[in-house]
Amino acid sequence: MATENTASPLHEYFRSAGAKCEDVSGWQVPSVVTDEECEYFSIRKGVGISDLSDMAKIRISGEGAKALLDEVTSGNIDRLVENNIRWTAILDERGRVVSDVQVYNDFDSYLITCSGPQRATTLRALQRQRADDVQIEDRTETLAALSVEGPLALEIPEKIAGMDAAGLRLLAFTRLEIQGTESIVSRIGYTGEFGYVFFVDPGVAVSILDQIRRMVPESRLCGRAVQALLRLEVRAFDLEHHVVKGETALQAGLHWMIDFRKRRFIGRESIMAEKSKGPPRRLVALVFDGETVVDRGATIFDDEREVGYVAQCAWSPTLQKTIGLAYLDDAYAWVGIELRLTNSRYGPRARTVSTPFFVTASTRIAAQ
Amino acid sequence: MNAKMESVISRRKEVVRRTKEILIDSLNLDLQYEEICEDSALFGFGLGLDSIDALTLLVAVEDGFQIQVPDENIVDVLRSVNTIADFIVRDR
Repeated sequence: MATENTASPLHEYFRSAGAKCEDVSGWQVPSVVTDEECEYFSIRKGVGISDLSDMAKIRISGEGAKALLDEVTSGNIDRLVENNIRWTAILDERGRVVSDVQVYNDFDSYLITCSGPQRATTLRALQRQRADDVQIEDRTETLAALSVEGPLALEIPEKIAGMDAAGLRLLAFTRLEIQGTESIVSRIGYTGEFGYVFFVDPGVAVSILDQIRRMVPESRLCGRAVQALLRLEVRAFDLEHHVVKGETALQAGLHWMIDFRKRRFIGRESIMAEKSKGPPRRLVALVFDGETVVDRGATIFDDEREVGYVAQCAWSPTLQKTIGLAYLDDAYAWVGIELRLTNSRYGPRARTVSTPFFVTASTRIAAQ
Repeated sequence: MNAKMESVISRRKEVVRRTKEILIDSLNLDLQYEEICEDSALFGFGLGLDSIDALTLLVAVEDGFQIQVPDENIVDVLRSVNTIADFIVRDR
């Protein structure tokens, strides 16, 4: 586990570019490098490069690796084919989200990634179910990770790693040599744009980052702060912001992370019971009146009745609107209605809407 | 809840239910109605559909609701069950 203030191999590079860092689970993580709005538009219109080295990277191997992951995660690992990635969840017995994880089927083993703050809970969940024929190796500190995201990111893997990295499908990865070291390139952006993660030897991380910047001069170093907004705009799951009071996977709308036909996984009984009864509240997208960003947890009203609470709210520079997500009582969790942020009929309004809030440039390019 | 809101929600529920039925039937998905979140992405993350599914789904939605989605709107409409429902509700 990271000791206090563990630094990524890219830490000094980002610091010398002006990054302000903050402590995230014992790691010094770049929060903002230059300016949050510039970084936002780099990812929405160009290419943003982020240091994800604090992301947990856990290798699971041995005869029982697949069975362990099928037991611990809610997704179907048995049907996950080699060189593919499944974004799924680890739930508790009550169906609440403990961690969202990406499972890489790497032929004779699996690589599990998740955000740094979820590393300890993920490791605990895996260790708790581990049988003797499974080995769990935490590679977080011995594998650097950097991501490139944006509509211009599409050609970067090929430029850096050659033809073997060209044309990767979403949720696929490949192993290849970059600068003489064994690396993994995966296509798994979280912002609705083309997104790739390079898992590389810490010794060559700076050199690879330099190479990307030389080959893609329009790229910009980005901090972590802007990610919450970028994810919100496309409703990519973000545990830190989307789970407020221990809501369940179904309440958070994570149906797609669950294999409902799987006979066993932690939390299955609760999930099946809630599915048949219907969740009491559900996460719904909103557009708010005005430019004021509403506090997390703020109450939402229908006249004088409390009908929900805000999970996340932010100003969208693309839409020029205040957008957010809120848990609404099931009866109100439908698109097309108008609610209020106070128990007065003249209070600021919030209108329920569909997501994604808009279609990203990369989605339009991919659809051509 | 006032009558106007009730009516909007009732209409929305009906369109969402029908959209999910069309999605499941046309693509032969091994899913039940309650196993699809209205905001789940249809492609990539989410349901993980591909471009062939997109074409099948588009035809099924147009037939099922007796509508025509203009070419320039297809990318915006085929994002989630909710975005399809938005188009249906607006179109009627």
